[in-house]
Amino acid sequence: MGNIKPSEVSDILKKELEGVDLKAEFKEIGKVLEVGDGIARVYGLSEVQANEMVRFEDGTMGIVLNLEEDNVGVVLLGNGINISEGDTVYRTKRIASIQVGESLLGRVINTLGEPLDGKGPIEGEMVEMPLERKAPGVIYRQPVKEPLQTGIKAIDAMIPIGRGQRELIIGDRQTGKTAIVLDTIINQRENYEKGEPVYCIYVAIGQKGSSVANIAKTLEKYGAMDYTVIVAANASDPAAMQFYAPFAGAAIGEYFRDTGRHALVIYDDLSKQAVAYREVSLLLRRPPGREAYPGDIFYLHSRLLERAAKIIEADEVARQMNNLPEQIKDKVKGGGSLTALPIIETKAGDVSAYIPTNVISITDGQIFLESNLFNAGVRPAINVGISVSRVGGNAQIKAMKKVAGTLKLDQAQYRELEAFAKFGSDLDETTKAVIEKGARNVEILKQPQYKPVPVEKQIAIIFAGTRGLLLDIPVNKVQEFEQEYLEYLENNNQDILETLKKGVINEEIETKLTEIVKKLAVKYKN
Amino acid sequence: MNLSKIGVRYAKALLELASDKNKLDVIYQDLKNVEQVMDDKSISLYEVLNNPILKPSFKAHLIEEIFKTNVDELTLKFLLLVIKKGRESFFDAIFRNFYKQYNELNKIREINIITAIEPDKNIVEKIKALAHKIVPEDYKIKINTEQYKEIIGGFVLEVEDFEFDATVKNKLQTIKNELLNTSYKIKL
Repeated sequence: MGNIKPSEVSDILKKELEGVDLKAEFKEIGKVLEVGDGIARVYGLSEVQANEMVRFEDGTMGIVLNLEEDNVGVVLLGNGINISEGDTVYRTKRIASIQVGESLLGRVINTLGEPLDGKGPIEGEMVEMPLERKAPGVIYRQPVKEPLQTGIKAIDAMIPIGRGQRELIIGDRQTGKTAIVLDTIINQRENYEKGEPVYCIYVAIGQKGSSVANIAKTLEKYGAMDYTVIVAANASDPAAMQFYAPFAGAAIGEYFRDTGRHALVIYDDLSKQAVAYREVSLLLRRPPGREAYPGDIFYLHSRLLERAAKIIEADEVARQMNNLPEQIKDKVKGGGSLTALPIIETKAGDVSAYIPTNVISITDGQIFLESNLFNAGVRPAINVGISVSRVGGNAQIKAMKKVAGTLKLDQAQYRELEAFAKFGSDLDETTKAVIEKGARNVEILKQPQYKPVPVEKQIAIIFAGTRGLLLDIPVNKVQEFEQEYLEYLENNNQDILETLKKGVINEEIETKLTEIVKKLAVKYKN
Repeated sequence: MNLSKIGVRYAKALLELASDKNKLDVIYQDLKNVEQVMDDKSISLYEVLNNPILKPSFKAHLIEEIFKTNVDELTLKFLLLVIKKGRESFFDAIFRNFYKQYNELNKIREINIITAIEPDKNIVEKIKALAHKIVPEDYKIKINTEQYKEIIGGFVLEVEDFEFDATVKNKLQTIKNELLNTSYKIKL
């Protein structure tokens, strides 16, 4: 506190008091009939809207989910320990929403947009974005055409992701699902430095507080928090907070998407969100369906993931987009995108369970991670055979497309033949060749965590692999070679890397690369 | 099934039958009395009725013994029907909806006035006039008054789903919130 005279304090207080509006007015209210297990039933509130926020006498907020004949069902966004029967409930006349602005970047917030990181209040210009919003209609979209580089060789080469796509990451626990998305976030640093940021939103649902803190620290360490928002609904938070968290993430992403920028939102993970939604639904006495999930669990996920989109380039068309929130209308620009990477955790590799099949069918492809690959040291543990990207191919840069075109097929074939190879040596030449090449490509596609590779280097090394230039190098030396090769290119052939980055590959570059590989490969020969 | 419909349906059935037999006001008064007995915490009748261990026949017998001399035959029949159908946990919802439908039928609106001390007639009339902002003119207003010391002064008016809070307590709270929320920026 500075030097303030007591008389000044009373002056300020006087001014403040004059500003207080004490005029009483009619407020719409209801009375609590029963409360417990994170939901309340409220009598009255006859004008209340679905999804409207209500405030209880003790300050707890709630969201109206059930409108029934004689009462309304409200989910509490707090523990509600001080709410008792007969308490008054007030309408806020606000649909559940979150305050979004640039100042969210670098922060950890909860579903309601309140900071959790102890860095003080979030200030700056904010716009109110509704949690539930209809996805943009067909005429406001355009096909996915720009790549979203994950920095992971196996993904960018074989299962490319485009901006505006929804790509599911699915696998058992401990298979590196979160590692993939963290690498993807870290890899966006390059775009941020170039001044064309891809804003990242990491939504942590039902995780331990310590895990979220770890993730925040990791992202901080790699300089990724400058363009990232973390939305956390921890395991100890009310179920309603958990199942609304992805919607809050989507709302933040839409802010960037609708203002003509690129955003990436990660839902980690949607199976926990489905469980939270099931909990709330059952408590609200909605009828259970398969695995006791409510009937609208598919709709819950599809309307969430439909909000990922690539918006049309033309500003005047984009400005007429459906369901634009009032406060963002004057900022709308075309050409933005929202990419979604939902994560689903399977039990014992069972992709045919209810939630996994649902989300697989909604998304534009999936990356399937397997624990036996992971344990065999193939990391990222991507099963190439059943991983697909249905739209990303159009978004891949030309050079990568040309170089990696056959890689996926080759690797799938290799996986099948690999089983044969274990039985004996009586293999024909072609089979042997496929296996030899496949084994080396597997080595190339291995990648340590937090080490995203820029796309030009990916092209350079995959070129060597798919053209069969590594056959003379023993399998266990491939990674060593890769490192030397890329370092060599960086030091001596910057021009080649620059051209590859632009997506150009021609005969001249191909000959040059082949020469370099051959030159460097000599010393690895036994 | 949507459980909140149950109270509405039972109340409607009773209301229609009562109005056919011209017993509306009798039944209304009966239900008020029954509710009072059930709400009486010292005899915990409501808990007994909601106890799943007790047999329905016992509950029916209990109700009959308690109310047979005090309420109309129709009311008693209704109470027994509710128990026979195993809906005794919905008594409060049924009562609530019966009053609501009864008031609607007779064009009555109940309002609650909460004051710190007993209000005089003039003030009650003024508050009633205020309530007519919400209640249509052709509806009669039935006033319930309550006294709460905690509100310090002023009054709270509750009409249907609306609340008009003109208490001293509320004003103090508003001032408190307003002063706490302001972040003063001290320029040196």
